[in-house]
Amino acid sequence: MKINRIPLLSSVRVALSRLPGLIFLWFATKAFTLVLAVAGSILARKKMSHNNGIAASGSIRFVDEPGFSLHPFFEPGKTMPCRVRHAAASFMDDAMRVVRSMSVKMADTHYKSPMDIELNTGKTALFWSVASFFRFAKYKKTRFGMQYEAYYRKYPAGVKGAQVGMRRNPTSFTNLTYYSQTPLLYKAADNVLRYIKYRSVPAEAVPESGILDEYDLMIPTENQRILPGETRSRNYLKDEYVERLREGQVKYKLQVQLHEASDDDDDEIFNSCREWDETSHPWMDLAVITMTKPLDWAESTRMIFSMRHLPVGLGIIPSYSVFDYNSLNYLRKHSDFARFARVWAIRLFGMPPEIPDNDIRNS
Amino acid sequence: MNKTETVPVQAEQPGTDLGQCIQSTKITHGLKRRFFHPRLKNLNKAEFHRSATHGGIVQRIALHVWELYETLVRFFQALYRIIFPRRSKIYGKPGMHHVVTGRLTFGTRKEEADSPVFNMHTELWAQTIWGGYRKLSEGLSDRNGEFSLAYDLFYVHRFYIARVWLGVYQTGYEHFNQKGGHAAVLTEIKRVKIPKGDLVGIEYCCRQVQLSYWEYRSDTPLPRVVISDHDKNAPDAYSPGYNEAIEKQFIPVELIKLRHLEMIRINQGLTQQQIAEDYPENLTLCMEKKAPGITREDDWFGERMMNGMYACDFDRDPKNPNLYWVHHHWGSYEKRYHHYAMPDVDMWFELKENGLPKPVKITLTGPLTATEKDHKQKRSFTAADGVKWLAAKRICRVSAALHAELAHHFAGTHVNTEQYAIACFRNLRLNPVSGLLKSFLRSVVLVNHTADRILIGNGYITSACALTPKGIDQVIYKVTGMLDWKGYRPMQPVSAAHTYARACNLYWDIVSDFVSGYIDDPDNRAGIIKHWFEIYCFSQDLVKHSVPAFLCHYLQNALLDKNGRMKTDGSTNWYGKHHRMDLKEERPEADGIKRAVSKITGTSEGHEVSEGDIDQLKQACTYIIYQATFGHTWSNSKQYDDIGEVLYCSLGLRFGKGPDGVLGPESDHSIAPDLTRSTQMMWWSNMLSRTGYGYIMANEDGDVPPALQEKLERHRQDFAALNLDIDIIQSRTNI
Repeated sequence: MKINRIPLLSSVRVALSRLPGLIFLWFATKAFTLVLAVAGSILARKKMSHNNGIAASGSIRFVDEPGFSLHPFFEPGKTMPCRVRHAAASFMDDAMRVVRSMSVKMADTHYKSPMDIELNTGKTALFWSVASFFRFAKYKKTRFGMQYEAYYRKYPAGVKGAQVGMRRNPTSFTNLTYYSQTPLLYKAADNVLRYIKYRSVPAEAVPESGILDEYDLMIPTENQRILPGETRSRNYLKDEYVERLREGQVKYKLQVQLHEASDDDDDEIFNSCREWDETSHPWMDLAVITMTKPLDWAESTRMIFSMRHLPVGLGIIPSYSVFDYNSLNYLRKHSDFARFARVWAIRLFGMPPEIPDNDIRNS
Repeated sequence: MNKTETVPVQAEQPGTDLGQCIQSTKITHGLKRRFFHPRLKNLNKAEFHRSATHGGIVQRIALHVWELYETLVRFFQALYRIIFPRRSKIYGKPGMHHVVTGRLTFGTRKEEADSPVFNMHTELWAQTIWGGYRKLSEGLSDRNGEFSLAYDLFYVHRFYIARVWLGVYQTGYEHFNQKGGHAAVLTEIKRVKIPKGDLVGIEYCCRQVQLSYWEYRSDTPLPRVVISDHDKNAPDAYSPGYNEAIEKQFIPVELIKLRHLEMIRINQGLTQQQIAEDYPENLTLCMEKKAPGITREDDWFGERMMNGMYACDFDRDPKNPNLYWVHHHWGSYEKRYHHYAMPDVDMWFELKENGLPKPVKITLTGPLTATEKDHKQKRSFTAADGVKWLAAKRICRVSAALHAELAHHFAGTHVNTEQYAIACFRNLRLNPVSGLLKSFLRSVVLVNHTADRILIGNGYITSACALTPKGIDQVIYKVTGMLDWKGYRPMQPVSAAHTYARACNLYWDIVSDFVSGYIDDPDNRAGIIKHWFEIYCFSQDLVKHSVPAFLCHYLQNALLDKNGRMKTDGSTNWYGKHHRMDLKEERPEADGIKRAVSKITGTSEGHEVSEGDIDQLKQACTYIIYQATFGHTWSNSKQYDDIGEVLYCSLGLRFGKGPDGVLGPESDHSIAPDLTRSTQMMWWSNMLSRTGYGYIMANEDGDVPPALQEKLERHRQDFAALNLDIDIIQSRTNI
């Protein structure tokens, strides 16, 4: 009779083979966080990117009939306090050609919350792993509104990510669509392993603004400068958001895409540079976010969004090396120290100045 | 007559004086190197003044030590290849999601930047920290020059992988091994280093990889290749055996020249006679010893004009069909008339009973003395003119030699072959025609590069005749404008004694048979059809870079009708059409200019290929192989026979100091080239004819298709009957 044994040796072998990659990932993450904390957070009191932002507070209400197997956290009809922070990546000029972001915190606090979600414009990202992100950082070389030239030269996926993610002069933060791009775990009540991607769309169907047109696509991707003769101010988008909130509520729909895990899944489903097919993975409404009150510069700057703020079953997908697609979220989750360091530095050395409406552009 | 019919030529049978002289002056290539020998790095170091050889005692010792060092280096390199072999195995498990991409194009940013290099073999390699090689991936570029090499991301990032690079490989000639197998030789021509850390998955793009690879020169209208440094970045390279053979054969000749130049410098009494005696005895000198005066006789003159190095075009005289007419035109080319005579030459021959030609009249057009200014003055000579008839024949020999050297040899084979070599190496890689042609097209661009410096331009010819460098270029340009593969057949024999033409036709038939067999082989045919796009691009490059078609005014008026086509009223029957451009065909156009070389196909897709296309391909391949091998061999190897005695024939004659100018007697050495040019002349003829490597039958580099060897071997006796030893037929144009 055939003896059924657990292949213990094989399991150990696989674990051991993953160990060097895991150790390297851990060290790489910690080293990067340390450098970021010292050079960026403490000395400059800046985030690594997305410094140019504005936050608002309001609430989030989960839909009554979501139409998919629900995680207990997404209780139908549940309403929670919520904050949203919109920002532009890297540059302190709203009129530049940059990626815009929306971070959602399901609490009305600076830091602590049961769930944070970080979203960016563009269905796909500019990088796909910690290794590629380190190359992205290495080849940044910002100069006069130009950056990542060497990166785009070497990595066509980065160019594609930038082209779909960058927005030129959108009319408002509120009519953009933001994507999580990287998938996360989704273990619903039925205990079936799924992966989830989030996105935020305007609550009412309006055309998305700022998508790069033919002219913009011909401009080299690394050139993020404002257009010649630009009249919009450096803060026009933040000003518009504040003005809009003063006039009334701003509503977003939080949607999800689910992929049911299977043993023969290709690693590519975790690739943030590839979309999930919307036919087989339709977007489904999860919640409605309603923002009612703008927060000032200081409050916006002080906020911290963390991948640690994810309910059990909705966390990050394990990763085992810096080349793993899921390592991006690992880095995000394990770099909170740099975020705290920035807030501590602000407390010690004071709030960085607001972005002035002056003529110093492309910075 | 039957083109393969064998009619013995009695005059050259072993028992005769001529037969003995042919045997005694036969070139052998089995020279041995001595322990401390002067050294020549390669043919490109040869100079007609003073070659870059090293002959001093200290230099010889140093070179000997250097040679030992090189031997050691080669040994360690061989050992290294054994210890760290480059296996064809792909390491890791390449997945389709992680790729290295890029685009291969010809040229630089300014030239041909958008011209893709397709079907190019590319490989991704890594080296371990202990020196081992790991092939990570391999592939080919597509029609747009784009390549995508999948690799195993996690294998690349193993700790022991130290370096990663992309290698681009040129598909070279086919190497035939002793077991009958054959494979293309791949040579790395470009290496793009890739930082290991930059390989982070998905797609790493090498962007546009520009290959300085068989680029066309833009500084000449001729289809020539760019060679900026012969020894460093030429697209081709001589085989080591070639360099060694040339060194062995060349050094003795070079030493004679150097001694003569030194004697001239210190005025030590060098004479024309001593020059003749110092160099190896050639055919004419040998014959003169056995039968004084024989080489200056009419019979000899006619025979050499027909079957010697000159191998003139014998057209029937349009005005008298009983005579044959040979014309050498120099009047349209830029010349200097300070020292050298260079009249246009017209020779008329009648055929003797034995089928050999006998000169009956010579007309010279142009100045024959330094004081004459009329370039149109015509003077005719016959045998009745005695001494002047001898002088006129000498002028004809010189004219024919220069014509053979420039038109037949350099333009007709060297430049002509180079245009096919460039197009072939640029475009043929996977197509079996690549394997068919490349063995025969090796080295030609290298030797042409050297010839640019030492033969044409400011090289020997312009110093030894009236032609200026521009005039030489004009000759080559116009001759090349009359060369086309389409409809070509070798010259038709005018008689049974026309052994040159008969040998040409016999060889042509053998090559044609060989090419047909190769292309009709089912495997090869399938490959040719599959990769027809390469043939299409080959053809396009040929036509696009071909020189404009050329036909002189005289022939335009004599041969063409009002529509520019060949007359069909029988008035052109005097003109030998077979071995000349087909005037019935419309010339192909490129950039609005009618070109000399016809296109092989107008079809880029294999499924549209017709039998007509295949036939044209066979014709073109036969022509290319024929010109690169037999065509070149004939004009090159016979130089020793026909310009190996300065007073008999050289490449230029001076006006001299006598009242009759160039018509003075041979004993007036002021007509012959001066001593410097004489010894250089002998150096040339010896260097070109007495050095050699790369013969079809010897197959030194293992690159000659055995089928061609077998076919030639079967006809060894037929060629011998035509006074041609098949062992001297070169497999490539390399000297």
